Amino acid sequence: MTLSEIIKTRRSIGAFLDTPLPEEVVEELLEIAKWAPNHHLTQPWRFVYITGEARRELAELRRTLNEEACKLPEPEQRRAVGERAYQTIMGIPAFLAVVMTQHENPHEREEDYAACCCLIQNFMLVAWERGIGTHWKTISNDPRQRAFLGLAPNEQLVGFLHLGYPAKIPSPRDRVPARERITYIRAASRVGEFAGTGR
Amino acid sequence: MTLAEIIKGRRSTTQFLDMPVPDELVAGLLEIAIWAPNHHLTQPWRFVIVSGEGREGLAELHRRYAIEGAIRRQASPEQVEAAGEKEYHLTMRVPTYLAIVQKESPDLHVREEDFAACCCLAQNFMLLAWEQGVITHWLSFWHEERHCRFLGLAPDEKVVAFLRIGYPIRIPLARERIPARDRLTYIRDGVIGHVLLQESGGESS
Repeated sequence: MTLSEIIKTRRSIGAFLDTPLPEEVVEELLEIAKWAPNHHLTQPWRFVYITGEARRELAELRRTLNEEACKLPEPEQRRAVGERAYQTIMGIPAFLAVVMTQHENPHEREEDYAACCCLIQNFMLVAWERGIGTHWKTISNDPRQRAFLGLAPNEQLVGFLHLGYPAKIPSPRDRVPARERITYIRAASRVGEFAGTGR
Repeated sequence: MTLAEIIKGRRSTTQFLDMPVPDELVAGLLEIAIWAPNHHLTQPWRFVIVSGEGREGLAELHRRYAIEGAIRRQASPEQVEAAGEKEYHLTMRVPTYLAIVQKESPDLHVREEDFAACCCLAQNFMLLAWEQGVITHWLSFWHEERHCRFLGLAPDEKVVAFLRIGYPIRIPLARERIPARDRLTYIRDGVIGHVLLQESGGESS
């Protein structure tokens, strides 16, 4: 696949095959993805990879969180919601958390956040090239979820990726052409407005 | 080039050849770059391309900033003039500027997701450009009033990435990066999670 094809055909995957993902593959993908643009080369990221039996604990946690958040009146209904959350997690072969250390300076923090986003995009593209599907989720900041991932108080979860081989690839949804959203500034007509006086 | 080569080989530079980048090339790359992951498909972006004589206004504005800064530092009139002149030429030496503009949602969570989507779009663009031999340099945009007016930003708009675009004079060497595996924690059997759940008052197993 060419780069354009990889970018344009990448989809978020909701249904995965049972096939486990070899851990070496994830390491290899991360070694490529880390070459993201990163102002001041702060390398503010670290990663948590969850796979195998450990998913059961995450799935139980999601069951609890979803039952708690659920507004349905009957305990039976709430249990069903929790069970669905549990099964959803167990149907995903692996998870990758991309974690950022939060810089004290908000401007640097935003730059670091942007760098982590670029790293995630790199990761999703190389994964897709190898037939691996991803789905970038933002997950709740519930303390139990943070504890499961082992996040320190100054750490932020930028992305929580579902990973695996796709069972089904969704069709693309149409997007507004970029050309309809481009403004060109080509003429020097507005120079006077910005040159100011007193030079 | 393979995708891995494009990602790993991409560099930033501020030194460009005196050779314009066609607007159509930039616009064409944007058509592909917009296929970024975007929760709820909000498509929160728009773009401003500044090229050719259009750069004059920006260069004059950057001259003003440099002059104002030099005056604040109580530089001599010659130094003030020189600082302005230098900044003017620095700006004019960049063939094209691309602003990736985000419309900021009032919902802060959506706003953060939209920002992330715009970053992915920027990364797509930089990779596609690199594949074409075009180098980019991501600047954080200074949201000063005149700067915003130059781009025609609405009050609820923000520049996520302000890219300098051109053909490189030379390609900078890579600086080493920490291996990802040194930053990777595995949770395979739940042991780590159990310990932490107990610490935070969860059920013990």
